[in-house]
Amino acid sequence: MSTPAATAMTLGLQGCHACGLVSRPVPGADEGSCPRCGDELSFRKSASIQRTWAFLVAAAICYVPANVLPVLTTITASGRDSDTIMEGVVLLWSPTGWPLSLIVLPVVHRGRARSTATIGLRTGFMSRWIGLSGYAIAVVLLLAIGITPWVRLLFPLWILLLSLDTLVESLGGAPRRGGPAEQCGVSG
Amino acid sequence: MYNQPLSDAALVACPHCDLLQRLPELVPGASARCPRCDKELWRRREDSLERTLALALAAAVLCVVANFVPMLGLSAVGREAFTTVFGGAEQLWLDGRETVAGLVLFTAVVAPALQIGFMLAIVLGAHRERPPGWVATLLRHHPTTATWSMIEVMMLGVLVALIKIADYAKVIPGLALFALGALVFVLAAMQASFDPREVWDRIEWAEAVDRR
Repeated sequence: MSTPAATAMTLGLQGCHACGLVSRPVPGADEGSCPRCGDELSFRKSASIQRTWAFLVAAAICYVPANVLPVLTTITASGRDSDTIMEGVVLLWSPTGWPLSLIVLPVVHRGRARSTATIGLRTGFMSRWIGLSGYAIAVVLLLAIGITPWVRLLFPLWILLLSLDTLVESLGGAPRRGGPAEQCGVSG
Repeated sequence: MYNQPLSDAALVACPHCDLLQRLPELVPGASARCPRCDKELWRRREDSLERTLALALAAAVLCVVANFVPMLGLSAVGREAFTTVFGGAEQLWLDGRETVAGLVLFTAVVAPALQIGFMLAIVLGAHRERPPGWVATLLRHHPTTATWSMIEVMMLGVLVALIKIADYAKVIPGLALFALGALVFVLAAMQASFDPREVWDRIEWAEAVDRR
């Protein structure tokens, strides 16, 4: 790259996050609406760093009681039963329940109330298809495990599929057929 | 006040790092990435509108089935009871948990229905030569409906509850549970096959609608 990277902002342009159109604010105005889709445009999110810090600290504080205190109490004829998330994972850990337990476990460490599959999807680590098939396999395992023992092979198979997908993705294979977009020749 | 458009419509700013660049012509199935941060800028889908329409129709059928037939049955001491997703939310409401009932109803019934409805309307509207302004409005708000549609989260919650309850009663999976499972896939496929750029390129601009 010979010229320093020209971002839309350094050139006084704004890219729309809803429809992708790049447009120029009218002279004298800092903010405007996208002429194509009407979405509001601005150069920067206001107080972005400060807000992120505030939410990060709040999340770190919430994380501790979320894992130390009980998450659910079951009251039955035989008594009360309080479980933390980790105790729930242990409860699910049985010959038939362990795949489900594996799906719930990473939630504890990420502090997010969703499954491995969700974490994979949100971080972009898994492709959407693989992640969502993880949910479906959890369902099948739970409902069909009594019907045929072959169903048990599904989860290892899913892991294999996930590994292959990660491998292909990291080798820079199929998804990039189009090549990178050319860089615009405008310089600052 | 509306911004002024540029003369070069192929210019895009990377949504992650703001690098200004020109999108190349792509063949269906190919994608373009930002050279600086590697964010995928555009992936051209094969036969995007037709496939999305087909999947949205399939999702609509599954959504109706998932909401109107029993999802779960419980059998304990010789008695059986079945309920639907809607019935579950209603029971939560009657038990005094109005907030939870509202959340379940919104994220598991209303938001998915909106997501499918918006997509159907967008795709049908985009079949015209020049899609009208209301398609732009729906297209702009469609990601919000997708964000709030959390069928997969509800499925996971149902599964955990099932495990806890399995010791005390026999659980009978209903047709709706399988319909919901299929819907998770069909919704993902619907989102994946849709190429919004194809619609944005032909749409009537908000600015023009306002001037009319």
